Amino acid sequence: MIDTPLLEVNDLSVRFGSVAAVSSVSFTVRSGEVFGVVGESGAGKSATAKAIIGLLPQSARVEGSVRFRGEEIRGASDATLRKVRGAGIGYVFQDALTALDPVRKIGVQLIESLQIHKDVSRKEAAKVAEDLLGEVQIKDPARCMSSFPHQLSGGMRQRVVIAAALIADPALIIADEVTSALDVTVQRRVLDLLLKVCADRGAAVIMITHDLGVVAQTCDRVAVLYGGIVAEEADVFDLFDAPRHPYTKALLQSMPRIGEDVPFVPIPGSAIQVVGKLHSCPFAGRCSYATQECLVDVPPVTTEEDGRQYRCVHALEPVS
Amino acid sequence: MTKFVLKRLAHTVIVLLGVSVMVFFLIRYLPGDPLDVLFTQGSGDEVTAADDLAEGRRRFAEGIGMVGSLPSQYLNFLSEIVQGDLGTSIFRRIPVSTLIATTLPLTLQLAIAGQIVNILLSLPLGIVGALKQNSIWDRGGTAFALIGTAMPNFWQGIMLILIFAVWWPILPVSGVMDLGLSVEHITGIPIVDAFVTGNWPAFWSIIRHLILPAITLGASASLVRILRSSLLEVKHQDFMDAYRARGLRERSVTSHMMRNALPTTVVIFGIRLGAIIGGSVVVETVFAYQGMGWLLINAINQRDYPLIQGIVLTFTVFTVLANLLSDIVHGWLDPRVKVEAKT
Ligand SMILES: Nc1ncnc2c1ncn2[C@@H]1O[C@H](COP(=O)(O)OP(=O)(O)OP(=O)(O)O)[C@@H](O)[C@H]1O
Ligand code: SF4
Ligand SMILES: [Mg+2]
Repeated sequence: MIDTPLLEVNDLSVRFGSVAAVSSVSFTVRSGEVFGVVGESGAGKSATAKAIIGLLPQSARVEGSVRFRGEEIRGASDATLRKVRGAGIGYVFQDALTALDPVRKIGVQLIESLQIHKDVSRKEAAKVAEDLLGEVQIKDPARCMSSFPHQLSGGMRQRVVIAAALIADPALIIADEVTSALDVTVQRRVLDLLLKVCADRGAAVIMITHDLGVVAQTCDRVAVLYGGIVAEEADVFDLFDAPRHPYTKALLQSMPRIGEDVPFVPIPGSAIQVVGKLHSCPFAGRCSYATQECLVDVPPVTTEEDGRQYRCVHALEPVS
Repeated sequence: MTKFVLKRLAHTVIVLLGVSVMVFFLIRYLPGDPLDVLFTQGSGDEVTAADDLAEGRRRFAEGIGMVGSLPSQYLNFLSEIVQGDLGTSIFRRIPVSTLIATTLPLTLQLAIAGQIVNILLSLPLGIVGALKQNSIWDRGGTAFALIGTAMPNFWQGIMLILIFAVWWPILPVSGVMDLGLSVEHITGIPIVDAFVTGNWPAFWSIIRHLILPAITLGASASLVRILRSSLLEVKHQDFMDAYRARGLRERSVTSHMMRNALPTTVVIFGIRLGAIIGGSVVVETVFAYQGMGWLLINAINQRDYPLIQGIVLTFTVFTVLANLLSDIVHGWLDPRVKVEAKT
């Protein structure tokens, strides 16, 4: 056990009633890396993320294993989960306006989040919070501390939400579409900022997004989700150079690329919602390579020597 | 803030004008005339000639301003109000303002006691209902509140009288305190006066007399649904999960949830205060609790115009003030609400 991975997700499944949101998803995140999770709406990205920190509603049925620093946290006691949340794994919510308590001041919320995990005085906590706000490039941290969320701009609020997730110094940050609520010019800056602050602290990041452009520019490794399964997981360069899974390829082709003459091709049909247990490749209905074989069962995981994994019975040739 | 209060006070004046017009004309179109009761043959000791009776009636009407066209009577009434004169009760021959000053404290005392019962019942039911949504507790609490709201107050009152006075007589069912007791007049609110003067027999008697009417007023637990729905609205917001994701205890998360539900609850409570005051009219009558509501019913039965007008206007002032107060408290509890911007 010299090199315990930071986070190991194994055979994770999430069901909401008869809807299978996540079916047997596995991946590993190592210390300090940026791990992308990409997929269309409804692919099960948020459900996976929330299952990791145990924040799914009561109605969700969760199975499988989630190990953080080697310790099982799936179905762990409240006390264990509370210790991991905030201090081990930080969660940056998508919508910054709704992720902050509207009736309490920013400073009070940040100080509270730190004092849960660290035995520090209010004054010390306030100092840490103010420094952190400066670190996420808020111009007047003291004033921000005594403001209410609605008094800040969208970009500022998102920075505060990042600060709130980071304040207890977690080793892993889960960022669920953090910037999709912001306008494009601000998006880029906030994202870079998030990555920089995490890199400075050596924290790993799970970057959840539906934007392959973001993945290309920010991630080390990426898992492509479709219909609740990991269609393909690979090193970012390998994935972009030579996708092995037809869905990855379709996703790449549907991405408009500036300055290149390749026309972008939207994926035919629309994303599916899996009802009942998955018995075939979820992409079969939209896949141009699909055969009878794809409908027999969920394609098994193929692992290549370099660690790349995919689930397809007619994997594309490794040459691009 | 000052501007807001001034603006709202101006609104209050307009509301009062509207109410004064309505009550003034409506009661005069009700069948029955107070002077018919006063000046009927055989009502005096000696047999009065019809002529004398008519003459007496004319002079009396003149004395209390009940002559001339209705609009001109209304204008007179208005100019007297502006000078702070609410007129004199036709039957009691006591200034309306004096009658209100003696009955209003009793009504306040009862209304507050009723709301204490309401809050004591509603807080646990509303919180449990929202936290354990759709559980037995939630359904039970909602059903309780629904039954409480659907049952008319007078019926609840009569049932309580039956139970606690007839079948199991342990509580008094009428009046403010036992006969023979009295309290010194300091604030006018008996329970407060009895307390500050250390008049314990009167104090306990007042409390015992308050119990049944207060339960009748408050047992509908009308706050349950308000509280439950405000809490549920907060419960499903992202920041609740964001708190949990930062490692907060469920207990702290719940307390933040309640803090967030408070502003809405206060506002709706304020809006409903009018209805609560209306409820006291019925309850005071059922329990012969001689407050302003009881006085109003008496005045209506006797067609005592000045008294009806005075009481209705006083109720109106209180309703409007309560709304104003709840708006101010709302702005104070919820930083997103700018009190100035709301009008
Ligand atoms: N609370 C819930 N109750 C019932 N079904 C849910 C719930 N949350 C998610 N689902 C379903 O689970 C599936 C996966 O949802 P999830 O939110 O994980 O998608 P996502 O990949 O995050 O998509 P998006 O990009 O839209 O955020 C969807 O089919 C969704 O309808
Ligand atoms: S398994 Fe079949 S349907 Fe699924 S992606 Fe591969 S080829 Fe297409
Ligand atoms: Mg999502």
